[in-house]
Amino acid sequence: MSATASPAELLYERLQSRSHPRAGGWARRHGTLLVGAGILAAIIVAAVAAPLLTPYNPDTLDPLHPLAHPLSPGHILGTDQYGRDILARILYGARIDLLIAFGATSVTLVVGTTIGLISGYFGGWLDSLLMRIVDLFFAFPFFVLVIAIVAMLGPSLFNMFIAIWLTSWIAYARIMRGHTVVAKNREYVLAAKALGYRNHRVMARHILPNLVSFVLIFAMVDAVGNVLLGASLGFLGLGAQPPSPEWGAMISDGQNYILTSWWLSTFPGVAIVLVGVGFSLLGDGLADLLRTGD
Amino acid sequence: MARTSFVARRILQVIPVLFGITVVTFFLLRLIPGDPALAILGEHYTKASATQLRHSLGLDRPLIVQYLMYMQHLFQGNLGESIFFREPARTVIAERLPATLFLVFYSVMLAILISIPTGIISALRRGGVFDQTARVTTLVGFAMPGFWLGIIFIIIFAVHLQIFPVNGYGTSFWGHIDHLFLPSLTIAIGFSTILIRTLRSSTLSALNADYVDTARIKGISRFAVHRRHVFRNSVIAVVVVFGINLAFLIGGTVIIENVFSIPGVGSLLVDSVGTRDYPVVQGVTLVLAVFVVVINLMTDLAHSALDPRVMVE
Repeated sequence: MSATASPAELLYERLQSRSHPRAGGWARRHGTLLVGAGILAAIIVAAVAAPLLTPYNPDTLDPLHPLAHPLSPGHILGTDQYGRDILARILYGARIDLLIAFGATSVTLVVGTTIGLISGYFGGWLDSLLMRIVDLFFAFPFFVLVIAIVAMLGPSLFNMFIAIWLTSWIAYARIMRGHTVVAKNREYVLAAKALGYRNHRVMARHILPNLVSFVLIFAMVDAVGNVLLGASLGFLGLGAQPPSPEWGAMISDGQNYILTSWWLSTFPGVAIVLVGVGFSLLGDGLADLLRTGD
Repeated sequence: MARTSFVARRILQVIPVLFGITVVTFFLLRLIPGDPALAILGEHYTKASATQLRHSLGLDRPLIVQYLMYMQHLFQGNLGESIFFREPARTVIAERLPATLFLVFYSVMLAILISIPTGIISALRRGGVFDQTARVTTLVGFAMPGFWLGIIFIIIFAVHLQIFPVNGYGTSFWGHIDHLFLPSLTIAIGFSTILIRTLRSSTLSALNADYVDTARIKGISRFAVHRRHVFRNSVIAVVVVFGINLAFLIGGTVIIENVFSIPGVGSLLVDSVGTRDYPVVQGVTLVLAVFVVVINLMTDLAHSALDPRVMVE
């Protein structure tokens, strides 16, 4: 029964089966999910509405007010060595770091899931070949491989995306392939095949909806990893390039001033932690939701 | 008997992976857009020097010949010539390797010291104040960029409290211990967030196992049961997770070396990107990948010694 239901149906069924469908009950049990979604929503809104939230341009230099302390008049989080407002840079920087989180994760999610699904469903030599490639990529220290690829292509934000796209789909393919191998022998798949449905329909309409939750939960963990990866490469000067207000690049910028001005590096890091915690909570909450729904 | 064949099989499995690693590192150089000779020589580009460089890199040969040459050089221990240092890449990397290895082992030691007590106490006092605090800390720690935490540590412990050096590697063994404490702690904290979660859940499942009840019914004290039955099983989980996440740990090392100016292969890698020293980038990638494969092999063998059930699979 539950095997044929999609995650949305499961959620629906679960909500139906609640004996006390009182307001707030669901919210209390899924506080993790809501807090995670709330944090991310707030950051997305802040990034989009940055011009409304700060009067400053993130790139405008103000030679008269360099290294202003936090809580200085007009600069809640202070200014950097060029007098640029830190809060403005963090708000505009959110656009870049969120782009990394969503841009890197979504592409690898789709590509990896598709490859894993096809590989697990058809099996055979294609599957063997693919799994050898997956094993091989897992042998590499991921971060080192990404740096090496960026090194060859030349440091830039776009080349960083290419490096992540080339390497990160592997994990999704492995997860999806593992679940597909099991699912393809389940009754609902055999039934769909017996009805004469074509392979692509069985994969897309029957197997995928049942397994997509696994990769989606993983995608939340992966998004945390991608934010950290993007910031790390920005920090090393291999991702977003100055004067871009990418958070990792800001931390790197501020590193020269840690002896006197701690706030330059500290606040962008807090922003990274917030995004990471947001995705982590969302992932945990999603997993809870789907597990209890099962 | 079963053990010998397991070990032999596991070692044989490593060979195709090592082979694959060389294919990937070989093709890395082919990712350079346009003419690699132009990219390497930059402003020193002349037609003659480009031809000579292409010849010395073997770029004027067919791809398969280039790969065979690359393999032949590798078997001779030749990683190519560093463009920046004008020395064999092998020499450059070998000089930097000890600092990285020291950092990796130091971090692993600290991570074990942090996570084993934390994970086990969290499980034994499930839902308590300690457990809740540990859960929130690991959640935040997981999302924390290591390089940022490292900088915060420098601000607090090196700049303000002046307990530890700001950066560097030191000259003696105790100098290394002192200089690498903050960087190792930074890496260890990131790694511990994963280890603690695993240890907590593996300890919880071991605590609920039937054999634990049996042991208690036999009249063995709670402490003895925990020591002999619970901890042994939960530590096995750590060995497995350690193997899986070693590659992650190496990645952390690369960036932390740059934060603390440690002369290891990680800072060499990043510097070499800046100087377009492609053979060194290629060499470091190869060395670190082989290192991960070898350590993974060792953790697998250690796992099979701790838990003979693994060998059946």
